[in-house]
Amino acid sequence: MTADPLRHPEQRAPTLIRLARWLFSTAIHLYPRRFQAAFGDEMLEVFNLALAEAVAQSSTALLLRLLRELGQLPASLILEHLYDRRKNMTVLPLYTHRELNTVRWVARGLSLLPVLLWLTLAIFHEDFLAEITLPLILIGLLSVSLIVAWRWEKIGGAVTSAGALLLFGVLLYQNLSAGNMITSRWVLIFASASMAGFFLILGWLFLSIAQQAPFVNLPLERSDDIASARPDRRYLVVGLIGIIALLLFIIPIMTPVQQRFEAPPVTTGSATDIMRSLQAQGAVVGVGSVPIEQSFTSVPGEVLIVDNQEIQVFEYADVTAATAVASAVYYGNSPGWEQFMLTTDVAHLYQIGNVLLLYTGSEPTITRLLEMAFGEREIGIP
Amino acid sequence: MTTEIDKYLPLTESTFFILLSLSAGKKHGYAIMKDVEQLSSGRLSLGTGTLYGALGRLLDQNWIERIEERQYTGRPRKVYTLSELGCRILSAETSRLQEQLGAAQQRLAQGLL
Repeated sequence: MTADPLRHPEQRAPTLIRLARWLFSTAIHLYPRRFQAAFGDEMLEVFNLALAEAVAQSSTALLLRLLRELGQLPASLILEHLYDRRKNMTVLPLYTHRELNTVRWVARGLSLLPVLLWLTLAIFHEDFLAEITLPLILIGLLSVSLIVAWRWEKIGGAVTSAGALLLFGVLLYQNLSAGNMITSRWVLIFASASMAGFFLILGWLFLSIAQQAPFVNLPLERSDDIASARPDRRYLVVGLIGIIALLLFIIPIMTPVQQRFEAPPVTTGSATDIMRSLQAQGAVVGVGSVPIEQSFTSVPGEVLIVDNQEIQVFEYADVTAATAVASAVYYGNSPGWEQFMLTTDVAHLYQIGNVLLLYTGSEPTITRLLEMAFGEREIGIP
Repeated sequence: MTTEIDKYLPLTESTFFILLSLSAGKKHGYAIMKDVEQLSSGRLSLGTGTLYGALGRLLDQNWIERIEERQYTGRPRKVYTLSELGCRILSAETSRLQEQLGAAQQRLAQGLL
């Protein structure tokens, strides 16, 4: 029997054929728009012809044709999207040497920013450099990768994107796990994280430039035209203004501000009041059996078990006595507190009127709970 | 010495067979699909998506051209034909493959393979 390719395929296996045609015509809509417009109708026609011929041959031929068509579809879809993206980069319409150079020099100017950030941190914040070692190392790596991107744009762009993503992730994690984004240290780190996000875009920009390069016949891996290409003076001026503006923005943020210790509003209470306030926030609160003593407090305390975490409560006779201890801690005049901090990794001290609360964990839910129950009462470190 | 054409070589198997199929004259998509399968002795069976992806790239590179022609029913149909550049590339690839085959045959004749 000879195959009649024009015979309607529904004659032999209507359900299967109908399903395959539906699947294929749906899949055509998943191709890039330009591809669909150019080849969509033709593809459907060819698919139908191929199916019709397979139906005329045998069920096995039909099955093999369907497997082949549907099996090759995912790879074909991915390939066409990648090709379309590369071919039609609409975000950066860089099709001439001049335009490419403009963007290249703007990107290079911006790449000085993390170096600047690093230097500013090192100069103005040497007091807590040790606490932000990891972000500093990452910012340093970012700076190096951006300098690499000046010469090897493709590699530099990829490293910049990866580094910025890593920096962003680490800083975001640090912020979230700290559970306290309001102190100046965390504001600083959050600002750096935002900056990492910005450099992620910059890394992408470098990559885009490197990918655009073949369209204007520039080398892909190395931009050898750097020596011959000189930046337009206008962009140097814009870059300079940008750097000055950034310096004006960064320095006030980075400069440590000597804050005065502010005693919280006068309220009095007891451990029982604290318990009730926490329970009102939905926490499960229990009382520990053993009283506790700390070297920096002058009174013994008791332990509350709040959502399975220990919180120590020290009740003073009046607000003045509690404030005296809190301000000594705040100004670093409490040897007992210094001693205590040698034995613990993290400690949150709160003053609520005549009561001091000590939480030596880092569970964000607890710090948030305390904040919700008593407001911003944590005794910060200036 | 490498020529302007040499930078496009070697061709992928599907590109080579598509160009080879069109070397016999203009064809529509389905005819190319069948011809490629036949030319490759059934080894290369292109799916519709793969075929049109390859045709799209060949059109972008100006290796082939797309022409609209009327069928006997009066309906328009797109057919593909080899461009001059495509013809030169196919010729260069064929020469390259011939050289390789010649070298292998020489060794074969010497009983080294």
